[in-house]
Amino acid sequence: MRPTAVPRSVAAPRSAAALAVVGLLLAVVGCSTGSSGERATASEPVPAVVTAQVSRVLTAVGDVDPAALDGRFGGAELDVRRAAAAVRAQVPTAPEPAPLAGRVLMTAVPPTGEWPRWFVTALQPGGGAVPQVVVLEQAGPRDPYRAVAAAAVLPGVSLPDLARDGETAEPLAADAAGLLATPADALSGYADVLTRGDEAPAAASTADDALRTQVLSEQQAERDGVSEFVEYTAAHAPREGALWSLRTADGGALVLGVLSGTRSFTPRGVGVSQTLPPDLAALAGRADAPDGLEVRTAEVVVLHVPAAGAPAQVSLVAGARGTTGVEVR
Amino acid sequence: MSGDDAAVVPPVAARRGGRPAGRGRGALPRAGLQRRWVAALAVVLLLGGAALATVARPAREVSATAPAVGPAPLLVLDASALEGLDGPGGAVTVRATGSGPVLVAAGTAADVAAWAEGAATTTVARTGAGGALVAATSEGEPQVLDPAGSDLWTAQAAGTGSAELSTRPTTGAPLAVLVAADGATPAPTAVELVWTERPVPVLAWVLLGGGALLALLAARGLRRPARREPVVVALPQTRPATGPVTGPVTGPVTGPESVTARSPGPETPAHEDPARPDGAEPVLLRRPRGSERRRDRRSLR
Repeated sequence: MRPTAVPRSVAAPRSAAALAVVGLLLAVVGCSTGSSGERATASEPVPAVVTAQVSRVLTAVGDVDPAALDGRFGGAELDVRRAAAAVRAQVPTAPEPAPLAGRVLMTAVPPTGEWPRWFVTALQPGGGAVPQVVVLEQAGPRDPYRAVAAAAVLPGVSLPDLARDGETAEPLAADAAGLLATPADALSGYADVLTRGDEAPAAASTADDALRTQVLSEQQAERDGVSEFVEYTAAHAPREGALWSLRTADGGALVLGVLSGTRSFTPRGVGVSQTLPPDLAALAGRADAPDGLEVRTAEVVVLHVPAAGAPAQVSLVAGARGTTGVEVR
Repeated sequence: MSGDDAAVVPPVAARRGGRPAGRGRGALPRAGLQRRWVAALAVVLLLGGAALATVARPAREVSATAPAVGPAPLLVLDASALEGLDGPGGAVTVRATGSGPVLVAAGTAADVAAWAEGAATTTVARTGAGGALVAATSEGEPQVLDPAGSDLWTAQAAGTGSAELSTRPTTGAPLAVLVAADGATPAPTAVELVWTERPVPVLAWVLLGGGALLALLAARGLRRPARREPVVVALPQTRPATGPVTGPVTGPVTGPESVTARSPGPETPAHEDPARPDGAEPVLLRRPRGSERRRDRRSLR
């Protein structure tokens, strides 16, 4: 027999062993120099609040002391709830505002930055209630996050998906471009529609919805009821400092805002006096209004504004309406 | 005579092969078993060194005390004081001790600075990488709102007499820690930072180096030829089956197995040896040095 060369069965394990040793050493060196995979990349924007903070805030809002509502409520939400509490004190059967608690469906947190800071969340209260969209705002570093606006999602409507960059949502300025209407214009257009109905120029580009129908019909009914003796006007305008916008995944925007509504009753002629229903009487502090009165309301609206050029209208996604006060002249 | 004969392997042929030709395939000489043990030991050392250098690194606690300064309602541990202590993403425990209520709260560095703005604050920072902690107090209001429960903190720990909070950065932003009493009284100044260091022990590198060296030796051993003497095989001389024993055979011995290892030359007269009556040179079978005593079954015939 001839002496053979190195059989393959010997050469193969030898090179495999060498590769294994080299690989093991490289892996050890790599691991021992430490890993930085736990931290988020520095290029991602930092959210204003993290999940733990959101939970704490929502828990505090849900557990707020009714005697100290201003600790966790502000803006229109505080006005509405205070008014509701005043009415319930006089009229025990008056409806209670929905609690802002429940399962968190969605949280949209803008990147951290200057104050005031805000974020939006959607809550699903139990018991078959509709989801609530809530805006929480922090006025300054030492202030708590307060719920400043809450609206119930309209039946059969779903919230549009928001554009996300890591953990943060993308906020928009009041005059952001690239939309069917800037957020400020969309809000004031909707206010116009609530004031004037189909005569408003924005009515053509705004889809019909339940809140608009309800408000317009109520106003019309009041007008028809009192106009013989009382001058009636109804007007809605965007509230100052209550506009928040977020970019949606389809390139449009989710615009959240508060409208202040004023319905004024001015008697025509002398001797006309109006009696107030119990709830308005509770707010006014008196049961009649000889010289007229003003009823103030706050409407919270959440609009979906499509991107410019999209074949869609501005549509209402969530809305709420509450009386905030009565002023008797 | 011919190189194909299996009985005798000339020295040149012996070095060519990985094993002595003619041995059964799979014969494990003694050197092979030693190489196995060396390779196994190499694997054990490598794995042990790798484990020590990565997952089984011994941890040791290190602590540093923040220097005490004048009374201020807030004490802020800067991002520089907390970063890089246990590698990126490591956890640092801050312990504060004082009389009365104690609060240790963590938030992003920007948020903590914004909360403390306007108040007299003792800021503890680290001078350079691995430097000492230095504290400086800024001017400001001597009393502030109670920082406990603020929505700015990502985590907080409160207690009476002492409080302890373990922080770990969760987002990309640097963390800072605020220590306070209740905002109206001076903040506790006995603040301690505790973290664990897990340096790679020297033993790990020693084990890895030794294991790599042994692995190299074991791999080289597979290639290195066995030092062996020229193999010579003793065989009985063939003779005709019948016929008397006549005496020394003068001609060349015939048969496939009777080739001498020595160079053919004039026949040297053989000793009269009863075991080798034909007078041929004894041809000895000798095993290579270092092989096992126990033979493989398929030994040379």
